[in-house]
Amino acid sequence: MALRRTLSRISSLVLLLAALPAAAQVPQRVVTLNLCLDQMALRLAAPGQLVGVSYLSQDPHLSVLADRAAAIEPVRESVETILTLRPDLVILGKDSHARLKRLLRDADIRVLELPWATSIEEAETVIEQMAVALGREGAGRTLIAGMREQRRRLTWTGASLGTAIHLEANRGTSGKGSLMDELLRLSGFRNLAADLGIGSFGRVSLETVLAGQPDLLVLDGAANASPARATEFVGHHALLALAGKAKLASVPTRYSICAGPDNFEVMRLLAEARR
Amino acid sequence: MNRWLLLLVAMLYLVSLAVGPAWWPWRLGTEVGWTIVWELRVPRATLGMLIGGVLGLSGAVLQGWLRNPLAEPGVIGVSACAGFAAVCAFYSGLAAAFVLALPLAGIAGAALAVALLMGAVRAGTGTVSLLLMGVAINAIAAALISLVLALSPNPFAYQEISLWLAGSIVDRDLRYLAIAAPFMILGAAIVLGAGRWLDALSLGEDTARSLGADTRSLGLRLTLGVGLMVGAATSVAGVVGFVGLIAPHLVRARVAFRPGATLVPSMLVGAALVLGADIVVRLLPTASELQLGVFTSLVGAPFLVRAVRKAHAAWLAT
Amino acid sequence: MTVTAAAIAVRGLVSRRGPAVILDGIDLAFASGEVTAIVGPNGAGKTTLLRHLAGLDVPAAGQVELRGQPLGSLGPAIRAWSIAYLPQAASAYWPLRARDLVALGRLPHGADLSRPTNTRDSEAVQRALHRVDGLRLAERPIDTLSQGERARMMMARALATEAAVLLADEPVASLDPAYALETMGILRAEAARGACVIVVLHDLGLAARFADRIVVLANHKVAADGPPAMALAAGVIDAAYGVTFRHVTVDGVPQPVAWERRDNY
Repeated sequence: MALRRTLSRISSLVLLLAALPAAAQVPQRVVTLNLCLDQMALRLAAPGQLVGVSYLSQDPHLSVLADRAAAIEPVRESVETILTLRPDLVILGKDSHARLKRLLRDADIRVLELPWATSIEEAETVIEQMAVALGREGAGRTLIAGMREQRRRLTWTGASLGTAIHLEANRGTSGKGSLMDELLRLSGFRNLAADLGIGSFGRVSLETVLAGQPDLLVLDGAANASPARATEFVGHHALLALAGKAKLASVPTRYSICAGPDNFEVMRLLAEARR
Repeated sequence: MNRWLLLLVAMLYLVSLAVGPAWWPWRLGTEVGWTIVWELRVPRATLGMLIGGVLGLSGAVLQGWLRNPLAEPGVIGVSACAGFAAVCAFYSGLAAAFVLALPLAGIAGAALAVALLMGAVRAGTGTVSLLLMGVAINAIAAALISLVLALSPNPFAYQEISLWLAGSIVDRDLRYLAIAAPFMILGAAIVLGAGRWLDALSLGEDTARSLGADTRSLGLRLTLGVGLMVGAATSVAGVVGFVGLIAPHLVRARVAFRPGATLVPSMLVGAALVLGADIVVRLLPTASELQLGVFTSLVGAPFLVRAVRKAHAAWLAT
Repeated sequence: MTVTAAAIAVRGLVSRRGPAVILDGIDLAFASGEVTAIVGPNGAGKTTLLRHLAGLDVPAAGQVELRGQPLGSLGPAIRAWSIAYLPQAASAYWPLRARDLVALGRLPHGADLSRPTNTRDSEAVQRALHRVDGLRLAERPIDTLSQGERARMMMARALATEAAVLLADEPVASLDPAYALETMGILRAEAARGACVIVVLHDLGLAARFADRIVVLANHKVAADGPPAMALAAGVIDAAYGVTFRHVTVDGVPQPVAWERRDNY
């Protein structure tokens, strides 16, 4: 049985590695299984080190690094597909896939769980942890330093620029404590959704939006490109009417979906909109 | 009775125009006020009225035709089939390419389901066989929807379609009204004149034919009418269940059980029900607004249970 | 009785259900003002014949003629206007009010129960209710009526059409003798008013007393056709039913009594 042979080979490898000192434990075949962790791993990993990323990372609407991800095996959440990649480290989000993690551990594969970052600062922590796990501390330090530099450069220090609201598919918005909330604040706007007491993944009706009269509407102008039932919200007549008065910032979902280095593109687009 | 119901619908329509998170929108300025009322509340209230009306009417038509008080577009799977067809139109990108693809697909799906039912339930209109048929059609539609979603490239398809299928008329703009309303009105016009033949059908198909009913063309006519109404309604609002069950149920005893006489009052009661339900979900203090279809199902399902129990007790049960 | 005088007639009627032949070349003409009883053993095709006369089934061969016109060439409206049909064990799926039920018989005259009825229709309904002695029950929902009362209302519904031809399929089945006699009296009265009444019966005694003419169907064919004394004669019905009858005569009316099975039949 090829699978059993693979398994025993992996387990013997793991046993062998366990005996070695920590510094030598650099994983050679890494799989990441979460869109946001994929984005970090694609930036941190050494060439050839990353052998699998989640299939979502190949979707250019969601993934900034879709072209780089295209060269790597796309993975869905099934143990069998993961095992065929013969990974020595699988990186997943902290609060999901409990069954999958148990099965992977049963197969003696190292599993690293990293938290879901909802702010730039949290993203830095995750990047640090991942860099250590990949044995790429240097790359991690460079990435974080770059992020801090961009953040310093793009943060608005003047008077408040007014209110803004982020609108997503299915009347979704980003309320208090969300990543977009932070990005709006850093860019000098007050988040209308947070003012309305909406939580981080709340929903809002168009009437509320109109009544709140925000100065800036943030939405993914390209959302209608892929057939989706709910993104039509974005093209609603009433919103277009408001758009005549309010400023409009088109922020592609792929820059705002994960906390991390791509968020500065959002801040750049917001900075453009305030001009 | 119709005059009072008409008044009730008119009143609820006005209330629906007046209710919303912004309440009196003109305090925000004339322009925003008009935008909110004209672009948001008018389409919503009008769609609510039309959708409720055609669902109530469809329920009355199906119940008269199938001679069964449990026939209802949602219960027997007509809405689910319309939903499936609309989902196909949506995720194939057809709806984006061609505006009328959405309602037309919904109409085709609904008409297909009605035709299937009419064929299968032709011989016996027993309550059990009808409900089992509905279970089967609902299951097939649900499975096909899952299949289409699995094939869809959109990773959020599942979430958004489960939201959409739960039924809602929030934030539909005038374009939706424009593409769906003509079909709904046409469907209603087609079936409203069939009342006397539905009366005749209460004596069974043979006797109805001996009284001059052309049951085959009547069947085609009702299939087309219900298909137009339920298909167009479902394609813009998702599945709003149980209205077609409750509305005829409420009026039947008041019109001495004549199937033809339930049509107009059921339409008005249906319109009032959906307008009222849509006002309630706006006022409920939930974190985000409750889906309209969820609310009508919560209220309507006990009606179904009661109707099943009554059907068992009544002499007309099979 | 000439061919042109017939209110309704069948010519060479053949009826099939799948491969089975139900009626095999029936020729019959029915006159106005007469009650014709159709009798015969189960499965002889009595109900099928009535359904063909009502235009509900399409003949495999031959045709039904209404006053000399092929029934198939007439529209459903004219057919319904001319022929009233009361099916076996007639019932309603909804607990309608008795008067509304009877008023359904006016549909062929263009009545719509959801609109105010014109005087002609409401008078016809009133007459029909009066004929079945059902006026005092008129405002009651039919699910509150007894079986006999309900059957009377169904009869009234057929009468309300005031059609030239009245077809009734076993209208007295499951009725007690009083209701049965009353029902037959109503049919007689219809014929007296000039209608062509054709009624399927199982009770040969009632057929002999109330019918002008009896048609015996057996083995998918007409076994006998004529006045009661002739059609119910010993040589005819004993063979048709496979039963030995005691041929009793009461007040000059034959009253055959089924006595025992003929095993050698």
